[in-house]
Amino acid sequence: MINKEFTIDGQYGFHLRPAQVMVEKMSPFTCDVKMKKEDGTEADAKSILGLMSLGLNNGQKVQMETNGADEKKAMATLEELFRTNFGE
Amino acid sequence: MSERVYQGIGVSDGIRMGKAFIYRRAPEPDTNRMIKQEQAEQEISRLDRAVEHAVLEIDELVARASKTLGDDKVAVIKGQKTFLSDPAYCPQMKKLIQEKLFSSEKAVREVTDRYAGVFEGMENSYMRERAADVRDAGNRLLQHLSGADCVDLSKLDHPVILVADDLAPSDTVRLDRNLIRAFVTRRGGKTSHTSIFARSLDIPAVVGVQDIMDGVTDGEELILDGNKGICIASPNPETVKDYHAKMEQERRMEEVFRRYAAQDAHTHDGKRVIAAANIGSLSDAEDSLKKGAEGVGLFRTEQVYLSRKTAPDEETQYQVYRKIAECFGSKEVIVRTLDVGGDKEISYLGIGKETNPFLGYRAIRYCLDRKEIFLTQLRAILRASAFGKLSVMFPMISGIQELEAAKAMMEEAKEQLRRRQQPFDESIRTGIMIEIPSAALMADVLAQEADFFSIGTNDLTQYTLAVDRGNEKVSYLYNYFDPAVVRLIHRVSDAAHQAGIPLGMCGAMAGDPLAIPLLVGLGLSELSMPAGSLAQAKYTVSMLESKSCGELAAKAVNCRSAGAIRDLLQEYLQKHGEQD
Repeated sequence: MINKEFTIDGQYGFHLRPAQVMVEKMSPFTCDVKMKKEDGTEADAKSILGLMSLGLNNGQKVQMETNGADEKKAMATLEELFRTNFGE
Repeated sequence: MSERVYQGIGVSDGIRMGKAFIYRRAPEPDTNRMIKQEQAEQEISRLDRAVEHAVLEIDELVARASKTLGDDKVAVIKGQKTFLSDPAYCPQMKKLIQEKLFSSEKAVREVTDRYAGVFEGMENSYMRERAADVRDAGNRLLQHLSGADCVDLSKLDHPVILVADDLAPSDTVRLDRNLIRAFVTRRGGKTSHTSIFARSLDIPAVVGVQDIMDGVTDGEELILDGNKGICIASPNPETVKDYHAKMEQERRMEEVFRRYAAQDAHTHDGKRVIAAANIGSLSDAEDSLKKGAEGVGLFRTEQVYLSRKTAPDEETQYQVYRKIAECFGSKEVIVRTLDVGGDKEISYLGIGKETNPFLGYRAIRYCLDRKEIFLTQLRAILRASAFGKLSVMFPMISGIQELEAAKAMMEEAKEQLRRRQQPFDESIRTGIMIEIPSAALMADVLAQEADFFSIGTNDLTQYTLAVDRGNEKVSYLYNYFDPAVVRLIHRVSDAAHQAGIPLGMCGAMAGDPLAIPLLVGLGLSELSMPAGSLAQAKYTVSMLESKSCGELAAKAVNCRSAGAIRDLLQEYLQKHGEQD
């Protein structure tokens, strides 16, 4: 299991488009991918509704957790996504 | 039928006439039905088929929309497809069918409402609007489950004014924009889908018209006035004539204005006047640049504080300010610090109800009292200043002590950043709004401490004349052409020139073509206005001649009444308009 912290960066928070990109990129991985808010609520990173339900605003911190056979690759992909701000 | 006027919110400018086309979705399906145990399997395959059809339909929509709309709009539609394949969406419905014996319709309603409810409860207004996307996906499923045909918007074959409860993204992409003259909807706000789509396609729209669906009949003649936010049903011949004239005028002027929007504003004889925009958000910033803004004379930062439960932290503010600074590059953006209070209420700031809020605890008075909130904003602005050309402007300064105190806070914020070794623009300018008569009267003293002045005519007029603009019984007295207001502006201008600091204006007066010759004559070097007024203002400036504007201003200052000043200005514009 790998854990890493990221910060949401976007005028509208973690909205439809970034959530969509994350689901698209995470779905091919077999490992579990979770996004956790500071208050402890979490969501399946392969579910756009789950991700959007977290209601993340600009500037908030999140923990990403990957757990399974391809967890390293999944985390590397996540890092790239946050680095490029989901192509926004 | 006789003429009726419906008031709503104008969200996309322009005037159009046409026949009403009332768009109703298919009748509500029964979402309370339960099933028997042995029907569960059949019910699930019924849901599967509906999902399959819905996905096909979305693919078709996307293929059609990508030709006519931008990528970001297509993304919204694609988002719906993602909902349909979401592990938290349809699988949950199937679970409800299997375990609770819900019909497919009831299951779709239940799960859709659950998520839409979560989004609607969010503090971020953008996310709240996304509830509509989820509902749209749910409605699409319900439509396919019922197999019922609803009016197909893509089959429209003549130009209409579309009347609807609300328009979903999937509705708007089906529209042939050549056939839709305008929109009017019962629901929606400035940031709802209909509004964003309407603006991006330049289709006039009015939303939030409560009685529109029941009040208007299919095929009825309508006039939609997006500028005023009204929809007129079965207009009288005189109204039609009026509006024909307005439309013709609008069309002719638009052509002229378009030429001027792209150029820097200067008078006929070469005096430069900066035509800047008033903005409140990044999307305003982008829009204003397209419409010819040469900078920002007033960036209202209140929006950053709205739709939240707690004050935004430094990082959140910095991100917004930085993007706006970058957007304008080397063009100046004047950032007004938090102007809360008066009619602008932000609950978590704890200002509370006052009997006389316009004379109360507001703007700079609040900020000087709540130092942490103020310092946080100043640091965020300063950090963003490293990425463009920002200036800071304090609102509601009533005297020199307030200005000195605010400047001391600014120094403190700078010092904090220096200690953190965070870069900012060391040459950043700090100016003030002149919107209180005492500040106008003491302008010569204030000019020694301020790097620039910007006159806020809305407050200056109401404070000078002691008139509440919102009170219908006295609003006739509210007039920025009142000689008392004009004399104050004149006085401020003298003080600014003597001290050698620039003078701008960011109230409604600055965008009023009639006022512009007077303002140029009074020596204002920057006029800041809503982006929509820029093209016309630039055109007006181009007709002026600076020397005669000066003479005009000298005459205006000696007028006895607002009416006399208006007459003078009208006469001047007529004379100079003809020369062009």
